Amino acid sequence: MLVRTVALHGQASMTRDRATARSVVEELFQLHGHEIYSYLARMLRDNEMAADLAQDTFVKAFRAFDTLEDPAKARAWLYQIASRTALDELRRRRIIRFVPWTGESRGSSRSAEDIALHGRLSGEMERALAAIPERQRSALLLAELHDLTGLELSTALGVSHVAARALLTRGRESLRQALTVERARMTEREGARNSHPERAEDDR
Amino acid sequence: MSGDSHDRFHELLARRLDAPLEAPDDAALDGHLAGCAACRVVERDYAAQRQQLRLLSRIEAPRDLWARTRTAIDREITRDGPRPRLAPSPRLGRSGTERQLRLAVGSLVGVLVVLMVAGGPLLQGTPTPTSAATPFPIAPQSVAFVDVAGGQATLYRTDVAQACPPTHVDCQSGLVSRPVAHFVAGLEAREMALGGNGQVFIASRDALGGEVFAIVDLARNSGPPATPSPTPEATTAIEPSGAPTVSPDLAATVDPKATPVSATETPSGSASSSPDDLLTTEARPILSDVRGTGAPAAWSPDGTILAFSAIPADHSQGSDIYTWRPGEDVASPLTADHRSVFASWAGARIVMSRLVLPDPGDPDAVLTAETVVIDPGTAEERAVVLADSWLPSVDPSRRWVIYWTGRLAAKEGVVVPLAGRLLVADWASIDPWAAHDAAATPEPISSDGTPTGSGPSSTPKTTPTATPEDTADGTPTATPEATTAAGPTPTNEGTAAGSPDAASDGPASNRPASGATPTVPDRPDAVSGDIIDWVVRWAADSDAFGIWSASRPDGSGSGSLTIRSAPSVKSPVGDTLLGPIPARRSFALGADRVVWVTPLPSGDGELWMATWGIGGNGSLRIRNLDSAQAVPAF
Repeated sequence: MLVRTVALHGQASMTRDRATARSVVEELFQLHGHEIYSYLARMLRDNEMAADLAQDTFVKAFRAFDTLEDPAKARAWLYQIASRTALDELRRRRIIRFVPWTGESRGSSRSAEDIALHGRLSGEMERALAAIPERQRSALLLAELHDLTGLELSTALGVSHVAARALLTRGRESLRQALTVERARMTEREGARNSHPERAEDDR
Repeated sequence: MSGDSHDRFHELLARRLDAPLEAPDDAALDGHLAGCAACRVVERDYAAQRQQLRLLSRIEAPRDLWARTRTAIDREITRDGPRPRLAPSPRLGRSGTERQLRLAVGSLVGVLVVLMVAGGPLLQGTPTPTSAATPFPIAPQSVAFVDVAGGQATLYRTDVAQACPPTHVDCQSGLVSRPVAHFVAGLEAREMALGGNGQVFIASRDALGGEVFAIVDLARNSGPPATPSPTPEATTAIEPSGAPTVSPDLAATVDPKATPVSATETPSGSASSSPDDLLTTEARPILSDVRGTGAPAAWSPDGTILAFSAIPADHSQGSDIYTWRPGEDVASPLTADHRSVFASWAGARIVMSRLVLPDPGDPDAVLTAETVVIDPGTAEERAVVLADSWLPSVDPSRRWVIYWTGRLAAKEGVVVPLAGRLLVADWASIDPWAAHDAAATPEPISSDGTPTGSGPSSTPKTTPTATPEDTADGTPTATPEATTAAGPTPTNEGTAAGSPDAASDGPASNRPASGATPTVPDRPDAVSGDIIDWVVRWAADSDAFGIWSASRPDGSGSGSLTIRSAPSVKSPVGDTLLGPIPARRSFALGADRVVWVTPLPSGDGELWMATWGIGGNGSLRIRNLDSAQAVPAF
């Protein structure tokens, strides 16, 4: 990672024509495309949507290439674009939320969002992450999973250094409480399975 | 040790994970941890969750991700010219940059189809070549909406024939809206209802704040265009006091064109239909100097009678029901008791809430209302046994009713609901006209050719008869057929049912004796919580209903919209199909779809449609609006 970053850093005379922009964006994709996708997948909890938004992140990066003042900050800059893209998408999901029409059982069915939300989450940590506020989740993922620190983190979150630290602090407490709830829920579920083994299959 | 103190140390614990604390904080935290077992647990939790987080594996990207991205970038290069630039992405419509662009675009006049005017649906524009999902087709249905830009209200129509899949709520549809009519500056649309014959009812406020109920006759305007003329100023006069009046025509302009010119929204400057292209028509006031009361105005199911209620703007009288039929110059009062409020239609009849006059000798008397169903043709009334109800909304099949119950108060002559809730009840078992309609033989025709039993509107051909399996208690109660005397006429003010005596002696004769079996045994909550403002609308096929509700009188008109399937015995309040979603008060239900306005923090809004038809769930952002005050209708 460090070596590649230095390589990018070396393009101090980076010209701003489209070919260069495309070339640099391609290199940025090779460097960070997979981690950007992984971050978006955890934020969105939807692989297909994460792929769409990862693509959009790099297209946006190409369009906004002139705003990349310091190549050394390219990674945080990409995360900033990705974060905004993810939060925009999540905001839209709040605007409209569907519950599937499935005939007689539709009232008891889980919503499409619910299915998308939980279908691919297996661990309690992922479920707890899904339960905390999105900006806090973003801060935690960037800091703990993607190793962004200090100014990188604040750049990616698009907030001041102090605000980024505060988001991280609040995120840790939110996550702790969400994990507590999640564990209690799991315990309760386990208890229900033990008392109604015939329903265990349905719960899976 | 207070909870706040523990919270502070929890915060310090979290902060210490990311960076060393200052010495005083560090020492204080260590000191606290030494004596606080619970806080040591929190410290361990934080450390454990950090480890858990870091153990999360990377989610591998699809192998073709770069290929897709490269293609998208190459398309950008091909499309946009020689230099990379900051440009809005049609796929990422919420960025600040694009937001500004869309705001600029919002006032434009795109063109598509005017179903009502043109007489036929056309296909939508093709999706833009982006990575967005492909919209799927749905049955075409036209949506009308009034948007306000620069103080001028414009009536648009859009034909919606596709929707985006749920995981791509904002895919590109190429949808455009076509202006149909402009209204004079200063008019602010509050309500809109489309009639069956091209008449559009619009309740609006004029520049002076007075409320005007007007009709725009689109059917008439779709013929040979009138002579173009400048849009005159509104001439609505505000009377100092007295009964509602009718003002001279409000001018509006209408677009005679019906052919699409552009497949996508373009900035105002390049719009295909400029305001100058629109021809003059009229938005004809049918009642002015009033203030609307009760439920939004609504057309009868056959679209021939418009009903609403209002009080004089100076509050000199109470509320009365008004009706208007195409061809009439002005709306006519159907009641004259000054305490009747429009609630809904039940087939060809009007459901209203009528205030019960409190006993003047009882200082603790509370404001109550009774539910009455009135025939708009004969003014014959029948009371409904539905205690503590306000503004019951009956579904088109006359099977169910949703009504508000709670505390009522009077404020400046207008009834104001205080905290209450919305309930669902079995209307078929309490419909005072059900037995009459079931037993109806070919109705005698009066001398003027009007059926005497149901007025100008035809009685529903299929009288809902509750079947045991459909009925909440399995035994629908036959309601008494006794009727009251004919209701008041416009020249019969303060008499008949309008008088307190009539209110108790007339409709009360329909009430079961004290202790009678309740006719509505099951009244589950449609919306719980303290509801003080709400709108209930049913789909024309009674298959779904929508409830917009608000619990705070913040005056913003913003609340929460939920769409549910029709109630059933198995699901007494229906199943949630959509929502709750933030929405403005105005919304409309069409064929397996709903259209609403989502308010945005910037003060404008977005017009959205969602569908749950046999083609699947989907949605569509129809348009970025210039104002969150926009009013949609099917």
